[in-house]
Amino acid sequence: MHVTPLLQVENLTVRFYTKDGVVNAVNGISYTMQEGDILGLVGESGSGKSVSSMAMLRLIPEPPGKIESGSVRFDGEDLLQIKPSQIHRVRGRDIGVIFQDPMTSLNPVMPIGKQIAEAMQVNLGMASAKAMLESIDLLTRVGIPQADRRIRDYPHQFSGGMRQRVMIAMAISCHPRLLIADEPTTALDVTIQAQIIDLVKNLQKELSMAIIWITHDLGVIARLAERVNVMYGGTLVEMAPSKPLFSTPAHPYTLGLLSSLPSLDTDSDQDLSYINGSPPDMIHLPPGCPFWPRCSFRTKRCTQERPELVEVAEGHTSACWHTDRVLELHRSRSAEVAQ
Amino acid sequence: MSDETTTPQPQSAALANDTMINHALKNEPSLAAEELFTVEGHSEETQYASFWVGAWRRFRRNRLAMFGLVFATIIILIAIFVPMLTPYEYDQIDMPAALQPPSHEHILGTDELGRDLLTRILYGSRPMLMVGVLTGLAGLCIGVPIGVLAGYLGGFFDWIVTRLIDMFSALPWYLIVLYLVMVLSPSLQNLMLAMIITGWVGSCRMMRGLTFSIREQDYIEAARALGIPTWRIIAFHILPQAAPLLLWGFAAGIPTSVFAEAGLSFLGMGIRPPRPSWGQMLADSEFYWQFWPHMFIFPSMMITTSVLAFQGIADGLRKALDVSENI
Repeated sequence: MHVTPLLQVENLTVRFYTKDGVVNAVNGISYTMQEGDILGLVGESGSGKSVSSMAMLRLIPEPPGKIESGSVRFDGEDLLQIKPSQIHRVRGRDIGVIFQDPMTSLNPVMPIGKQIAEAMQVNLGMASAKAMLESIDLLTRVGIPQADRRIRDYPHQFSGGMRQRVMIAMAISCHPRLLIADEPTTALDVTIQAQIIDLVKNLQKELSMAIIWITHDLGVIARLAERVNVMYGGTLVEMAPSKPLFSTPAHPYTLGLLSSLPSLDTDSDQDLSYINGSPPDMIHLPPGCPFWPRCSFRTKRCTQERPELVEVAEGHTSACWHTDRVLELHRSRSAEVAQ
Repeated sequence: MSDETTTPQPQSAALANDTMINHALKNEPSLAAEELFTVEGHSEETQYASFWVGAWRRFRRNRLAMFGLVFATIIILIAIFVPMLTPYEYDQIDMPAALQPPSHEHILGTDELGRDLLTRILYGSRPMLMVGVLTGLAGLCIGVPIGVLAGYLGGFFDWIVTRLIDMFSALPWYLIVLYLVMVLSPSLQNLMLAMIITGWVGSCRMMRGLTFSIREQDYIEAARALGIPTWRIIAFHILPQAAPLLLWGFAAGIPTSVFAEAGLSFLGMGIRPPRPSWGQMLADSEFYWQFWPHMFIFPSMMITTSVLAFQGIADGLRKALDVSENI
């Protein structure tokens, strides 16, 4: 039986036309998500993970940005074809967003209750008194004590973690079916991070919404996501369920990321391993595979032809000409560690 | 008003409290107790004072600003109720009583036609306020919508608006006003019209710049991501944020307008006789001031004092509203 996926991104390409040249921020990425999926989108700064997600909601500034091609089907409807005047009916109601920095993402001169209520008034046509009651309920749900009194408070009266809870309350206020969390824990303490992750996990179960969790923190992904997409240089280089991704990475970049994670067993005198070189210049992307200048597996072919995503196991794809060698190396290393 | 602190100081809640305590130590028991009480009462109610409450508290501590506010209030009341305040008419000619120095009957004396100078000065507050306040308000009504749209939408509209602003800023506005009034024939209405035509540019430029910077804030993007439509973002997220600066800009424009009205009336380009204006009264004293100095002292005092008062308000507002100065 054919089921329409909740989200179907196809060949999404986003460029920014700047004075220095054309920035190839996202270069033809495709993936699908089902209702209730939790997807981790991993990559370093500038890899296009945020841009690709914001492009779905047409939240990238145009100009200089431009969505060159592709389609983003949300429940069958192509979000990139909706008229600009209509896009706000998708925002907030179908797709909610939590932003990275809770310190700057709340309006400093508006009480938070009003900010949460505003979305419901606009999107669900709720009367303002009812929306206020609803915001109290939402704030209680995201774990803000004495919510009935705190709705009158301004953002500066909340701590970072509390503000992120407020942001979450805003994002889920209209019961979106997809929540885009753009590095929501990056600006927070580690202990608060864990609380926020648990909160989102619980809310996800309650509301059965799908989540795209954008991060560069593999630890967060391991804790939360069912599937992981790894981005590099504006392309998806590996897609896998999270267990196989951590146990058998099939792309040199993923392997590099995983081996540069410190663990408690690591000897503190020992240098952490790292990936040589620096992230690619998105204006002058290398031909072929975007990762080859930093890759230890590279051959001549990598510098000329761009690898496509190929399946290495069920539901696990990797865009590399040498997946077999990567898998082999990882296997031998794991064997060493086991001994 | 004796609770004012004369030296400007950072006024965070904690420091404000310190000030209260200092007052308590400085043998002002009754007052300090009252202040402490209100502060405590406040903290029980809402914990934090809102921005405007804090701004008012800071404004109140500013002597010049409070003087300005009191003066402006009195002038406004005078302008409204002046017919009830004086037994004379502003155009009541009484030749035998011409050119009298201040006396019991004519508190500020009379002019060359025997008109009561005090009456004319009181009536002169009307054109002063009309030009000072109304042109500023009208300028806001035109400049703010255009500025906010230009700043938010950008693109071609912004390009046009920017060129217009540049054009108006490049030309000396005083000369434009003078020219317009000349072409339209001198009168209070035409003077105001001319000043609105040139005056909207300031608030427009300020609003455009503010919108540009506010628009880039994360919380505006967050609001867009929540599906808040553009008009709501402008009305509920951008304008409230810009309100303090706009208020200041409005207040800061008043002294300039007051001065301009006086200057243009002095040149015969403003309000037409027999209706009085301070600038015009100053011009009338041209041939008499050496022997009847009251004819020029009182109008010029009024011009100076009102410019100073409105400047004080503007300055106090700037200090009270500038959050960065008060953290």
